[in-house]
Amino acid sequence: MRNTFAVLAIASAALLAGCGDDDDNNNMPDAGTGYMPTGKGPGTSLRCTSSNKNAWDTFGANAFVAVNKSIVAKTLAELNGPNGTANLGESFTHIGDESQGPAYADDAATFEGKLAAFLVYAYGGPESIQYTDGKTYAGPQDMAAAHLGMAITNSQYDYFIANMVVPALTDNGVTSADVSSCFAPIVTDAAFKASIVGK
Amino acid sequence: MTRIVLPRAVRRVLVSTVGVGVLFTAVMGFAHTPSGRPLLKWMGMSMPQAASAAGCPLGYDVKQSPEQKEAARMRFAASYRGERPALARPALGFDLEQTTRESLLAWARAHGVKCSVPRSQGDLDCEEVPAALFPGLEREAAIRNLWVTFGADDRLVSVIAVSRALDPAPISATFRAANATLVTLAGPPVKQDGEGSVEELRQGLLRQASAEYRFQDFYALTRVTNMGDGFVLTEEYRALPKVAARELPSR
Repeated sequence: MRNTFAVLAIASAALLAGCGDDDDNNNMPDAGTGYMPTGKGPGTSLRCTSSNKNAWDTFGANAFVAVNKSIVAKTLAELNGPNGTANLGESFTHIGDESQGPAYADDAATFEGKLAAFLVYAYGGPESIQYTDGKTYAGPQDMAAAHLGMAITNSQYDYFIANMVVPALTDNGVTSADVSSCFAPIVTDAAFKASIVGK
Repeated sequence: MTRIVLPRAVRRVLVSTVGVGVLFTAVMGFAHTPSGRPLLKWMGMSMPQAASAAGCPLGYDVKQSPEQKEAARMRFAASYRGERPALARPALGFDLEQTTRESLLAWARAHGVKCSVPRSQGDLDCEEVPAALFPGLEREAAIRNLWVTFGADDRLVSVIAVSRALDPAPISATFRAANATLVTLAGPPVKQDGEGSVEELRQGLLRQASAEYRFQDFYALTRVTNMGDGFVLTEEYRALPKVAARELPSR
């Protein structure tokens, strides 16, 4: 039921976004098809092997909610596990503790909502979503500011992508081919990684 | 202008609610100051959800106590324990529940490996460990970071190694060698996805292969990933705490 609400909420946001900002949309229909993505995020132009559409248009709101919740669950399991924050660094620590700096200000629920909004936007969805908690979150986010002061290492970034993000995708039915074609290019992008590591 | 007069009972509830809110905010605010850290730690230890994290119940901002680490190990074991004991517990040549912090540091010093206490939780982070320091394991890839955790008795309970190389060949070979060692010495994996060959990893970004091993007293996970700007191998070797026979998974 909760997921149904999420799907409806996010789908509604997608619909509104699709209707509202056509003037700013520079996307063109794919040659030989009628497919014209409506998103503006960096992954909008990516195409999944299985569908020849971007990730948002291939998998939709329900899958994005499931993957987001899976990433959060795996991350919390890691933080609550025997190694604590050793493998992930401080990306997910101090949540709700603004005294550590502005990057730590969000509580856990807000963090989850922001992560969902970022993923939706980055992979071709609308610029804002209404998440399962009923709140609206903006997709475009300043990754460098969000990770400022955390001193995330290269190994911790690699560990997070390899052991949290990719398994969250494949656990939810995304094939290896689609992971490679329409998800991987964002998180393996050198500039994106540089916005998170070593800040 | 109409003056609204609330019944006394409603006023009491409102005043009480506001008062409790102000008091809670004041206590939590104080708890997050340097002077209030002991209070924050006490609160963290008293909440089951934060049992693994001394300090801020949401923040995981200070090192885990030995008791909290042990509790986290028990939770992990409850989810990942297998049915049979491992034949042996290979962990990059270290002896789980035997190697001490002192002996590991002595080994690192003797080989010029820099180990430090990480800013995050975890006990030691050893950097740039050459493959040659693991003779007999047919290891071709150096370890970029070796994250080490000790138990309450200061003996090794887990080793996590992250290796990275531009070329997939040494990472693939090390993944295969690690799994061969685990299969031979500990036993077969409960789950294996992919072979981790160079050809397989080169099929696309974030292509992975992994193998998971679950035993009564030992857990291991190996995973190799094409990260685009290089190839990464993560290896986890964990000693699982002993439990009474009645608490073991039924066959």
